[in-house]
Amino acid sequence: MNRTDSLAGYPFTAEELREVCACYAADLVRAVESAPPLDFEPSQAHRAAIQSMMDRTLQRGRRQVVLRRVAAIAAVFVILFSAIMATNVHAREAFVRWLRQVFPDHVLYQFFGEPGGDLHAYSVGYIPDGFSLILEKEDEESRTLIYKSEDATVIIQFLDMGGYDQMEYVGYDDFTLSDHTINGLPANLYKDNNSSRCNLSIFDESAGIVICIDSDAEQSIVFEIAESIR
Amino acid sequence: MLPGLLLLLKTDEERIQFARFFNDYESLMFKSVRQVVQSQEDCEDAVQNTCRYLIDRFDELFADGATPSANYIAMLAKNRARDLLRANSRNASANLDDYEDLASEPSEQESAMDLKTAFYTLPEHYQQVLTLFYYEDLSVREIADTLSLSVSAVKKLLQRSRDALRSRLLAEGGENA
Repeated sequence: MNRTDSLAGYPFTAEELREVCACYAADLVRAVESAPPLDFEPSQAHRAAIQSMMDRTLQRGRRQVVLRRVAAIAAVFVILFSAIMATNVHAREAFVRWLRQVFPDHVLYQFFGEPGGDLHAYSVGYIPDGFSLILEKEDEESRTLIYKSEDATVIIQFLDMGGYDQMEYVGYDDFTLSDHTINGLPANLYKDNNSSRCNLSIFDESAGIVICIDSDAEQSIVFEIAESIR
Repeated sequence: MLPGLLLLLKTDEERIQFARFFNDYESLMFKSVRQVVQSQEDCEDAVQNTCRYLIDRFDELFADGATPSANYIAMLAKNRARDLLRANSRNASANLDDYEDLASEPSEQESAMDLKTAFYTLPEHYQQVLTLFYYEDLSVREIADTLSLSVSAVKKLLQRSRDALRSRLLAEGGENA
């Protein structure tokens, strides 16, 4: 909708309205900023949730950024991958749909299958006592559930990977990567060596879905939750 | 290896950018949501939802080092708090009817005003949608996301907001005619 055309026939122009809106915006901010200070300090659980979200930026958000900004680099990966596939039978067997590259401080995954997994095909069968669902969010590519207890946060995210889509996992400053199998599916655990925080990413390769569980709860709880997801 | 390292650098820069932004605007977010919800838990949930919204749209809102305006953050946070109230009260998503309850049309006796005065007498959701469209230059789709409304609802809201503004401006003209 064109802003100028939208005001044809009105007794004011877009410029005049913009000026008034600018005044309103400034007044709004001034009013909010001049409000009395909060009578509480944000809780530790809140801080942890915000920090987890920021770290999630490094996974979820990056997937799309990478695709747009480094299409050329992705093309190089595809060419290299195709060459490996064409010349090496073992490589072809090993990397049917997923390519995983482990760097010293991050891991890059690339999915070569077709998109179209069902984000609702999974249900979470176990959430420990004391946790409650505080946010459920969904878009075309992902479904997110955030559970919070008094002292821990669990973020479960289902990501639908499209063809040639890639996902980068950038760990904490000092993390340990280990391979696992959850309900018959390959999984990677990223454990922060300096805290209780960890991320367990489970790869449903046939569906092109990644299930990420990010939490500062005990690692055993994360695995119990992961194994309950069917 | 090089491509991976380049990606990592970018990622770290963006993480720092967002962390700085959040540090600068956390107080504004809390004070904004406090105008809608009262308990600490609700305030924190609303701020977290605001943060999640911003992170999900990081590429659009923080492109090339830009940051959203304080006005946008304040409006966004208040609307996330309203979403929370709605979710807590009746499991309903926002629709235009929710806003219509709050709408007010100028009475026949209401005198005409200049544009600024007329604008300031509009219901808050009219002021918000006009500001987001004509001042923040957001698209209808972006406004729909920000206010948790459908695109068609935003178009209707814009239309009604403009009409309400015109009604207030022309009231005096009608009386004088």
